[in-house]
Amino acid sequence: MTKKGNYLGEFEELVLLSVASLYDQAYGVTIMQFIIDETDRNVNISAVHEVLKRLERKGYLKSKMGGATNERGGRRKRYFTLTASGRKVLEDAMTLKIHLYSRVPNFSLKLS
Amino acid sequence: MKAHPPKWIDRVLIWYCNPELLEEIQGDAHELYHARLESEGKRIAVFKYVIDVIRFCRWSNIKRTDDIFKPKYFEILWNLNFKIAIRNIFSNKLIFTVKTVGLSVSFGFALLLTAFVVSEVKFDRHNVNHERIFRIGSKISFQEDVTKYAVSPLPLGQALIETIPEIEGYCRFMYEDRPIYRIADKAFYDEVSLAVDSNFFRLFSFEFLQGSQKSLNEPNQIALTETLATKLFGDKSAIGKTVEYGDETLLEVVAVVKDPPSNSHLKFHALISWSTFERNEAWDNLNAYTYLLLKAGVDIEPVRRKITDAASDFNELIAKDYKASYEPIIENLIDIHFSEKLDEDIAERRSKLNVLVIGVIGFIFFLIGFVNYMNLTLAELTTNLRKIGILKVFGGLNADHRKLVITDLVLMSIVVFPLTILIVMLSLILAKSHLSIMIEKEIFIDPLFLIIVFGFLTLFAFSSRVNIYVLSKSNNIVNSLRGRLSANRSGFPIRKFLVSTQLAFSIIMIALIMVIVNQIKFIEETDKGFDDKNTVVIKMRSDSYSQIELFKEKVKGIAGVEKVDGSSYYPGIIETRYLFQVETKSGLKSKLVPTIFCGLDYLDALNIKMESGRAFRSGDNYSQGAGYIINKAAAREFGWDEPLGKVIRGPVGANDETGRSGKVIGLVKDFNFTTLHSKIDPLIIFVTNENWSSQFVYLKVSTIRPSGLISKIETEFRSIWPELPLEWEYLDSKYASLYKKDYEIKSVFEIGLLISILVSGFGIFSISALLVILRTKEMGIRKIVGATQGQLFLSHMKGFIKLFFIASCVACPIVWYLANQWLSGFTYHVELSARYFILPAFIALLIVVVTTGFHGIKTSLTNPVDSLKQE
Repeated sequence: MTKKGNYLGEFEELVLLSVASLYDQAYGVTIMQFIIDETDRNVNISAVHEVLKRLERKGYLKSKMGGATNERGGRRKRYFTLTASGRKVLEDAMTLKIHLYSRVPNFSLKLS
Repeated sequence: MKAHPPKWIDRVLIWYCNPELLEEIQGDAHELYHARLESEGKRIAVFKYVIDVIRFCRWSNIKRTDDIFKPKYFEILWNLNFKIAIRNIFSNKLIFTVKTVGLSVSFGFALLLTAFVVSEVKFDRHNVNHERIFRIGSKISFQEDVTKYAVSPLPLGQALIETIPEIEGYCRFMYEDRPIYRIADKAFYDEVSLAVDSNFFRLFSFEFLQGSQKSLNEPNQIALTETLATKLFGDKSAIGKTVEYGDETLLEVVAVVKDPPSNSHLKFHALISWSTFERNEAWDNLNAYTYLLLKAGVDIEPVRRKITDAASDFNELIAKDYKASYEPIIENLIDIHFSEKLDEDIAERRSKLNVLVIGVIGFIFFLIGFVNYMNLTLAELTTNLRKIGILKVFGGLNADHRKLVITDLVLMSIVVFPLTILIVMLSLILAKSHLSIMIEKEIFIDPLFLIIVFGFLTLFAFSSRVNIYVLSKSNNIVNSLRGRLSANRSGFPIRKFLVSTQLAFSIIMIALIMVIVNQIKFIEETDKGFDDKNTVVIKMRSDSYSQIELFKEKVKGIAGVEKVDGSSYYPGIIETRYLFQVETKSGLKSKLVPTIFCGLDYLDALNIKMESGRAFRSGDNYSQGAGYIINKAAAREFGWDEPLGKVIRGPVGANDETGRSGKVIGLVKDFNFTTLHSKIDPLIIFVTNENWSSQFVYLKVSTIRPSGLISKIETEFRSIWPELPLEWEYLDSKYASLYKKDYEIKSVFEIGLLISILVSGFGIFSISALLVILRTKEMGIRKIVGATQGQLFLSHMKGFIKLFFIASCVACPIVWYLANQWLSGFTYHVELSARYFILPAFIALLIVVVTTGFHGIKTSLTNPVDSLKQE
């Protein structure tokens, strides 16, 4: 996991988690909305698109086009789902964080 | 139907976006727009939509690829290659600098020389009809003297067009001596002016800025070049304006043409219509430059004979009057530049051999840079072999040496090409200001030039093929992983060949520059036979003998002027020959002899020593031509052992028909009034009078040149000729300027020398560095089994010394040939001796020792422990 390029950026991790949470409803706008609602952050749609593309190139996401829609002038949506390696990288990141957190002595947290 | 976001911004999105991505991006953007329209109102929704569209405008959304979401293995590996190449640059900054600078300097120099050669090859070819235009010169044989003139008799053109049907048209022009133009109060001198026939523009192609081909039909018309028009009238339109020419001739400007290109043998600033002047249209007026235009598709050979026949009138005439014979010289327009120099010619010449040599040198320069580049690249790639091997093991097809070589080439091109263009442009400016060499911009888009450049580029690209070939010999992964090319170091024969060529080039350059420097020193040290120091020469624009005498008297009074006298001669002007009759055993015999007529003190002023007899003295009756002084070459020519007292008559013909005669009163040593390129001719000197007034006044000034001297002279000059400009020059600097071409060659070679030494030195250095890497282990073992440091040093140097000997053997005959070629242009020159071969070879040896010595010492000091533990 130490190979360069396989790290997950903070925002990448956020997007990956959102895709996982939204399950079969994950496309650009919903992912953005999800992040805004859950984190109170100001996120731009183009940034989300960019990260989705990057994650798919890395092989953590896969995508397919949905059916025609009535809203948005009949344009189709691109739905994203997690791949096995996406799940793996997410789990690794979580494990690492929990592991590191558990190593923090109690008093150090209390002090702050 | 829901409201749309503004159409214009939608169109922007559609315009830049990759169609593959458009649907989802536009869909998401629209969806957001509609959501915002409901919650935040129209204005904010539109604003945010615009922001979204702007922020979507990223490279990844713009670029057109068919599969955006697929992993890019190819791209990754390609990027890796680039990364490797760039890292190599940073880890070998020195080598990279040498590589790029060396390549772009030699490439730039080669391009410049190519442009020069192309401009020479295209000489006069810009004329649309160049194949059909022929110039008629004259070959006049007079006794054993044959003189070839570039000019023809005035009526020749008309006579030819009347008798020969194959000729479509003709054009004559004459060279206007000492033109003066006046506009209002301002006067302009020294603008090269030609008086041309009305069909001048029909024969020669010029681009008209104003006016048309029909210009110059009538008397008192003038066509100006762009430069002169701007000089005379500034930015205002010149057409229709009036210029005063000489004394009281008013000329109307009827056309403005583009300046003739630098590679045209016709160079002028103004063209005046032929009919403006009254001419002596007689057959014996041999003064017009005559050009014929043949009809399309006519062969010149049969016409040649017809022209000779048609000129028979003239032949008869001069046979009767002058006992001479005439023959036309017919040259094609494009051959004029390359043929031998004729008398009274206005064309500059260059031999084809000269152009060829320059072309070859240009190619050599390209080769030097090219070879060096290949050497260094190979050296670098060899040290990278292990990296290549590892990449191969991991299955990187794209990482093989081929891609690596090509990446390196691409990276080099990115750096080298802009640098080359910069160098070319800089050198063009320098060449124009320092060497007065002009190359037209058009040359750089000439097809011939482009083809040659394409050839260079192909060769450059081909270098990658050679490198790939050499590397492929080590294609064996095991060998690559061990970091060696292969057991027998393949590629070294090629590299050795390349290095010895570089060395040979350096030796040639050093030797040639030595020959040139020595010859120029020889020129400067040779006793010219007269003293040109502290001598001011003033050009006379008047023919009036009395005025010039008056001027001489006046300047004599100025403090600091020691001696003053006039002469007809000035270095660099065409030698004037006159017809003399000289005494021989079988009576008087006619001879055409170069002549100087001068004042009484002239020989003394220039410190020209008498061999025997005496100089001119006042009191002798010179108006009757009482005395002549000749030089030793003339005495030899006339066959006189005792020249004093021999009778000379002449000059005959020309100014005074009666002729004068007198005895030789003195004999001067041979002094070289022209350059050492030509041999000393016989010379007759006689004293000026009303018919033979001197055109130049020589002033011997005191060694401490008093300040304000020139302005005092100018005041005197103005008091006699208030309207004329004072033109003066120091004789020694004028004399030096005659060798301008030779000095130019010297500076060109100096630059060449510098570049070739630099480039080949770095080349050897890099190979030596490579060798050290490859032989580390070997040297360690040698040391362990008892080699001394000296032996190791020698063993490193041995290979290079061998290369040096090969290079010397190749260079010597080339040096001998080229040096002889150059020296043969001088009648008096230094002799080639062994030192011209030994010294350059020695210097080359020094280069080898210096550049490899560093690595030699490094090798000899190797600690075998360090080199052998490497596993």
